[in-house]
Amino acid sequence: MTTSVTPTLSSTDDQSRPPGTRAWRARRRRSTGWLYMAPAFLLVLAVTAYPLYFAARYSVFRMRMWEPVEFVGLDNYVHLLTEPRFLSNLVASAVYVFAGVVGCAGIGLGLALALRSGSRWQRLLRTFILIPWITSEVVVAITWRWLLNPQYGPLTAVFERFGLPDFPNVFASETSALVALTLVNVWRSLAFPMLMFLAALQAVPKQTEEAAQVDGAGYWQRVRYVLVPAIMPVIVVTVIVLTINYFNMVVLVLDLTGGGPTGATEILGLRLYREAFEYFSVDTAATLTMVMLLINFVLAIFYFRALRRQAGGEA
Amino acid sequence: MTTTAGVRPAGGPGPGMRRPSRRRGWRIAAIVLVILGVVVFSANSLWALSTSLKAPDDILAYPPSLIPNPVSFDSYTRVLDGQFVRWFLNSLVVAVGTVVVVLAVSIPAAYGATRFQFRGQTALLFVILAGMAVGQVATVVPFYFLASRLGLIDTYVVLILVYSVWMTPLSVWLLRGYFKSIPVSLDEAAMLDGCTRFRAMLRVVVPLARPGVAAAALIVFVYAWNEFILAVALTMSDSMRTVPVGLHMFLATYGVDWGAISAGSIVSLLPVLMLFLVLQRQFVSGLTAGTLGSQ
Repeated sequence: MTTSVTPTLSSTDDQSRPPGTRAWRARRRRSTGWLYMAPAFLLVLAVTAYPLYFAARYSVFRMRMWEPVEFVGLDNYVHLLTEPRFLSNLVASAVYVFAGVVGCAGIGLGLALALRSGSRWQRLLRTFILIPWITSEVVVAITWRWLLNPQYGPLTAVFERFGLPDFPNVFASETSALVALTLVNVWRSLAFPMLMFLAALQAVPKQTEEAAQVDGAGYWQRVRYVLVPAIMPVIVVTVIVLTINYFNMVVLVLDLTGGGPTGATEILGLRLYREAFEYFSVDTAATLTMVMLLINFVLAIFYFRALRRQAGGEA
Repeated sequence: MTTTAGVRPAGGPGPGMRRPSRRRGWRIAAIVLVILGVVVFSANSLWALSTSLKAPDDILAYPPSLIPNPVSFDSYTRVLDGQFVRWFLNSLVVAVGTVVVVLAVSIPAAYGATRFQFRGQTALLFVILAGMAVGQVATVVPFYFLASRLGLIDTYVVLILVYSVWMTPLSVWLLRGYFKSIPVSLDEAAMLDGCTRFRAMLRVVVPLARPGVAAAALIVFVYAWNEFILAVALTMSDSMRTVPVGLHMFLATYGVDWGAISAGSIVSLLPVLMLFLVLQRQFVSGLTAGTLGSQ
């Protein structure tokens, strides 16, 4: 990787000493632009291309311990896609991602609007919202598991103290476990949309909003017809980054619910982790990888559209 | 900054009317909300802090109390005696290394994307930014096999490389927005004065874009510091684990040693928290220009 940086250096040096004609320099200039962008391009290309190649190749073989490797075509896919566990993984993922993204982006937008003038109190709250986001998922999962523990957790003690009904074991029922998991994840990642939207809102020219105000638009009208449309590109990118991020999560779920009860919170990422690192079944893991990459690419199509608008807009 | 600060109060911080009595009501409601928010968002780190400072016997006392009495550093000494220090250093090396590589790759890329025009530039930028769309869990298994074939398991290099690949797209996106806001005439002036283009980038554009660079560096650092799934797959021996993996193993092996887990969590939070408190202002303004330029 480092080797590709070096030519960048030398060629720019050549270019700045102007021995040649204008045409020579223009040609030089074009190739220099490539060289500046090449390292990042190659890194990213490697990360997209290789896993795809690997997963595609391994997913069409059957590999079991003590058995010869055997080409089985699409058998692994048929097997995976028809098993009930995979369907339940898919449902859990869909609920977790959709509810999480809607909640997180919605609350994040509300917070950004409420906290954008940046008074001392607002800055204080902003700082505290950052804390869960900069905490590792492992720590988030461990601490919440304890806070919510129905036997000796602090919330249980608080409920008891104030004579409320027993604090429920949220991880015991399938629905409440999934809800709790989604909420903890939203709570954890709220800072990201908030910061993105705050930053985007600061970039909206003050005059635009003031003009709307002069025209008699109330607060909610200004939000709906002026501010939100103005930051729409950032909202779109944020939503898509969140979606892909949630879809690929593992350890928060692993340490908070462990996928239970009865697999209700086993999202696809966790299943893949288990196939690979607990059951050591490479063919299933490769097949799952392939399926997840495909779903990622479908999600990414929306993202590509948003990006193309951005990348194309400047050229 | 000063001019906008003067305008802002008139622009109206709060919703609603500006009659004095209602304004006071809003104010009190707002402060209550802020306090509630602070509690909600700091609840579990406060709890971990409190637990980490309790004596071993008090940790599981019921009903639990928030204030540790007596204060004991037992959990900290236990954690810091073990391999935790090694994990901490591993995480530090990997996170700093990742920040360096990502910046080394994405600063030129963002510069190339904003300062040149050539055929295929849009496509190139598109591929780089599209890297954000590949989910990382889907690459864990392939990378594991690639790394073991190349003998890179259990090395810093593999973690730094893989993390860098993940964070380059976001970093390019942010920096590109920032670089766009810096007039090209500045680098041209530097080049007329005899700077090479590369030097103009390093000496003129990068210092001006410092908030953007700081924002990108912070996001990359936080990611690398907290990443779990790739770290657990690409390291084998206990001495090469990173902090999140180590804490996860704490949970698996000690089960209920909440004191040690809490102390480890608090220690792992410190570097990131300090970095954020120092750079917070730059961070937000860096993000602002980044998203602005991208619109």
